[in-house]
Amino acid sequence: MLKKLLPLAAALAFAGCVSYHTPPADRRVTVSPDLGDAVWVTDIRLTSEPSSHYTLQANVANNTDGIVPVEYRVVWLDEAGAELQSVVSTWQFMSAAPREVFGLTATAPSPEAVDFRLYIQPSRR
Amino acid sequence: MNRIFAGVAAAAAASILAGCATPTTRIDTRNDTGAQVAGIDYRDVEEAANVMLQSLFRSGRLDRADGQAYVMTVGKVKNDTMQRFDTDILTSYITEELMNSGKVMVTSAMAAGADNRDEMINAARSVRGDAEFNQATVAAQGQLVAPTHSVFGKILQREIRMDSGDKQIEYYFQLRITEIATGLQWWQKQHMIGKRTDGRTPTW
Repeated sequence: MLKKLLPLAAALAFAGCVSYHTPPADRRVTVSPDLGDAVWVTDIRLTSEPSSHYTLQANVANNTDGIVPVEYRVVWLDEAGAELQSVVSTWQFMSAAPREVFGLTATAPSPEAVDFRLYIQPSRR
Repeated sequence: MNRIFAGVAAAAAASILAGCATPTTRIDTRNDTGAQVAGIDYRDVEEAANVMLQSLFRSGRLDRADGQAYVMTVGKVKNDTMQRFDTDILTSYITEELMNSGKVMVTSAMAAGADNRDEMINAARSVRGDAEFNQATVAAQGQLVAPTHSVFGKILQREIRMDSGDKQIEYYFQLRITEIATGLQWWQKQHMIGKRTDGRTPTW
């Protein structure tokens, strides 16, 4: 019984250590190297309620003790992976308070959008 | 001799000035690193359109149970700023994206502004009974589709003098959509863009 529980306990302990210090990687998200470790995308939520258009929320953590102004844009893709050209894919501004977890939100311009690419970079304003 | 000297001096001055002039370049609208301006520029309009459209798409208001498209007309969008520009620069983004979403059709038969009405709709009907036209190809009566909704709004400017002598400028972009049958307001969104600049900077 002890032999069965030990690997499980070890796995849980390691999982706890790893998730704290490593920003999760998502191939759909590109964070500019200019931001360094200032911000991490911690998780991404995608919902189509109450509309038939997908709404994306990327939760981003500001790891610094200062305000981090960022810009982000979401490019929406249809089922074939083609980009949907839209003014909703222009850069949007967001200012993150120190140590704050904040949500970057974007809504697709069409119900045909089923996937996305998220880009985050330092603000140029 | 004096004339020759004056001519040479003028040519030299012109070439010096030409050398100092900023060369004309195209704006990289996807990655514009240009300095901010006190007035409303295309970046502000795109931002306002972006925020408003996302609000409308997220609201679920465009989802009709029968899957049909709504028919929208463009009402009055008032420019209440100190700058002279056509508010169609905002509404054309809105109507273009609404049509691209597949959930809205925009009528050109009825609109507050003449620029959003297509005169050819009436012109093409004026040839009813004209022997020069094949009457089978002329639009029949009762074909025009009345709008179900109307989009209208306002762009406002407020200027506030700061204690430092600088100026704070606030631009409010407001859009509303009305359901024409009931007169009820169906959706609305306000987006504010704020700028601070030198007190002497004009915004007209």
